[in-house]
Amino acid sequence: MSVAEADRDIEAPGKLARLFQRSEALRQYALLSPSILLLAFALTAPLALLILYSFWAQSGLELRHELTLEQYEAVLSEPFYRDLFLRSVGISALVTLVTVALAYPMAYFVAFRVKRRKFVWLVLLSIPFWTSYLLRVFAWKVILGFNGVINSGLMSLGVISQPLEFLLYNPTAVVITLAHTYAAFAILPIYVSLEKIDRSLLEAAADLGDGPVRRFLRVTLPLSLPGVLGAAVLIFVPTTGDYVTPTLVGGADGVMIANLIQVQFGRVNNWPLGAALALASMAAVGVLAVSVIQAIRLATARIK
Amino acid sequence: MTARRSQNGRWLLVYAIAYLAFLYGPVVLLPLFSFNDSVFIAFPLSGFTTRWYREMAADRAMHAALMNTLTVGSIAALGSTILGLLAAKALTQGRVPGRSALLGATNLPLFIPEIVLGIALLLLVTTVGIPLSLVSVMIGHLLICLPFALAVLMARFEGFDASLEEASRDLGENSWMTFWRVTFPLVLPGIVASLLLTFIVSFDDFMIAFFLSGTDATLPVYIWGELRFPARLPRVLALGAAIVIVSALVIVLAEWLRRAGTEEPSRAA
Amino acid sequence: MSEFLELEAVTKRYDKVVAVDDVSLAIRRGEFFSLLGPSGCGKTTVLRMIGGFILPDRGRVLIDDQDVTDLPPNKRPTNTVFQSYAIFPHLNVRDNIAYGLRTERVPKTERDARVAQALAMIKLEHCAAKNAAQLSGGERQRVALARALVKRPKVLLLDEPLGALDKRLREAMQVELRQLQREVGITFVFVTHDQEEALSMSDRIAVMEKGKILQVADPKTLYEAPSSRAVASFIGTMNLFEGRVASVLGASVVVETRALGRIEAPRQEGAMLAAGNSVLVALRPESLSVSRAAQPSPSVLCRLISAAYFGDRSQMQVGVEGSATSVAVAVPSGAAVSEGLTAGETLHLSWRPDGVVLLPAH
Repeated sequence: MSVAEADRDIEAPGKLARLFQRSEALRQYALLSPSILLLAFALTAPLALLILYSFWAQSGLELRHELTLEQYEAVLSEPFYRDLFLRSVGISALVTLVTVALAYPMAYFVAFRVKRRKFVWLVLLSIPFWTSYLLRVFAWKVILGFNGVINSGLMSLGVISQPLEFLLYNPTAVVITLAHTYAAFAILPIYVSLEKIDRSLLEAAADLGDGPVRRFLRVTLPLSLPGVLGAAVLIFVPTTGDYVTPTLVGGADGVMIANLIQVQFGRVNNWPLGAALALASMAAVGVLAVSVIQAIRLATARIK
Repeated sequence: MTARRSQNGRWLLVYAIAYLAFLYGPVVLLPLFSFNDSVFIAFPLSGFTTRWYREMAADRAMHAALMNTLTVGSIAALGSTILGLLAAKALTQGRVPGRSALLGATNLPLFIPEIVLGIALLLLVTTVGIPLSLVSVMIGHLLICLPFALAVLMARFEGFDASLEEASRDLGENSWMTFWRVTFPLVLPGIVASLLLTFIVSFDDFMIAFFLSGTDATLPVYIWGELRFPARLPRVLALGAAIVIVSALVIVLAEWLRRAGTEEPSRAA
Repeated sequence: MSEFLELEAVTKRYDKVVAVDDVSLAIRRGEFFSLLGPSGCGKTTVLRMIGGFILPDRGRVLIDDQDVTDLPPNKRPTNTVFQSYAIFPHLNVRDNIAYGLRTERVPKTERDARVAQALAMIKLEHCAAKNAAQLSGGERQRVALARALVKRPKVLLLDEPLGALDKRLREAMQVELRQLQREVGITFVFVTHDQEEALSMSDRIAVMEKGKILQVADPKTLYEAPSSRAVASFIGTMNLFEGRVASVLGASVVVETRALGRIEAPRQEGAMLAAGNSVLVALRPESLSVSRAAQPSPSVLCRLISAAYFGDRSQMQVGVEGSATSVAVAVPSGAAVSEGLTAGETLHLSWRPDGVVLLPAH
């Protein structure tokens, strides 16, 4: 708005301007409109398309547009898909367990044992995760390989004479790699919920006679549970859909659902099936995550 | 009692250090072997060399990929920060009907597996007719960067005294100048932090770029291609090490800026 | 004939709540006018409507014969001192004060001169280059004042500016503000919930409750002749006794009360004073006195409940038959009766007839 324009409306402003002046909601939505446009275009429309595609079918080079349930029938009936899905979920569940279990003491340390410069520890803990995910997975490939770092290191130290074969190209490698790369998603939520615990509650418990172990079990652990559950969800849901890790370190045995989906959009060229697979597994993972959380919540609500 | 306490504390410290070693191990490997004079990434080490770095620096394809990544990253960072700035202002100041729905929608990309986002966006661009190129990658990156920009900027605005803008208008300024004279200077640390953070998010993204790139590759997509050639691995390590170090510096800078803004700045205008 | 600042039937509604209900005010040029009331009564909303931050649903706002109802804040001849002061933390004191002058594109020499003058007025010349965020609460308050006044507005709006200051500083600032207003001659509209503050500083006060104006008057009238129970109990302490008008005789009214017996009160204009009307007899604690000995003036017996010592006076609570609540009596220190009091002691309660105010019974 130039000075000239500003001078022009010294008299009462026009109708549109007055509407903006009066309605706060209108003003805020004007500011939000570019973001809403982006979301509509890049999020809502693509997801809608995805759902639509899952109800179509691909025959040869042609995409048939009549609505059909055949993709979902295939997805739900083929044992291959089901097994693959279960394996992915199994791997993710294991990853979640391991990651959370390893991260909890670390988060506890920073929340309770570090008095000054917590910020330094937090930054130190986050730096590895802001480096390229691709490179971190690749680093594990290099570490676990047949001629990789572990094997060559152990051999040159004389600990083993033959390289260990079980390290790479199997589900174990996938679990280790995913546990490492998703560690940050566990540490931060757990740390935040531990940090929020009112220290005077622990003092009160001590005052009432609880020793350190009991204090932990009765006060700290339950109060940090929301953070733990949050971390679990933050790890479980994305890892089921992970592509890079199974591709680089999983080998034939460590294939996960994302590999199958990607292939539909690659050489197999069956986009409708890929869409159905993606949506079905996403829905299944969502339902699974929600029900496990509810179950845990119900279970812990009973324990006082 | 105290003896046991300090013993517990000691174990926890040992654990913490071991955990950090576990976290940093693989990351540290990249620079380590990038200076190793051998095509094989294995022990024992063969001697120091900078040739991988020289080879990487000379690689044309790598240059192109780097340029592409910087372009996409800058646009994604700028775009998502501007969108995030407007949205953060709207969402933190004043009543907006449907606020939680909007926040949920903006953050949804964080909860959808990247592969699903990737294929969904692929469907979009093919249906709408946008060719697979850096442009399509930019659209995808805008989507995934927005939640980060919004989070940083909302935090910044939350501590912002709304009456400052009222005071500016009371003293005669219109909305546009109020933004530049009052809002912008005070939100600036958040803006810079957002720019840096979203740039990194775009820089590191692989999945979205994988599905949406055409002939022009971004750096992660380029690296992915190189991973198939064992002879090229050390060069990739050199690239990786360089990226790691620069990312680390940028993140520390962004974090420092974000915090510096939350205390009251004490510089005279 | 219109006044300098007028609000005509202004109404503002938020969903189902009426924040400001058909408010009309006429404020004179150069007046120190206060809006007084408990929190939530709408006084701040009224102030913000004068300033342009809130637009009324109905009604008009006129300043110096100009209808400003639809004008945004930056176009109005008003300036505001905000409750939180709203000092720009990224600018120093001088730049804060100069902010509005920069907007007006005032040339540098004139701008510097006016800012220097403002700094001298608030006595903060030595802080001119300091970053505004490093100042104390009282200093920031003065900077906010200077920043607004340097623009020479027609009306200065102050939104509970002294609320965040400690008692001593607040009282000092009250005196300073009053003097400042007299010197500068600008119309001040001052919002507060502190009735002592309003009484000591204002030319006139509008007492508000639940969005409506209860009474507009100068401090003396408000204190001595409140128009309703609500105003009476808000301003100072007021003892209220139920009664019925027995007769009206020329300049005085006779009221029959349970607690104080038959009272003669000066007749006030406007009250519906027909015999038989229910009425409230209102007496300030200073208009009452207690003694051990019987008095020639009309009095009743009372029982001492408690006494609180305030240095220059004592405030006693006594119980009177016929009054459900205790009666507050102000006794100057040094009065004979304040020596050696015991709880439960029987005393004589008497009152000054010219201190009796009659209020409508609701």
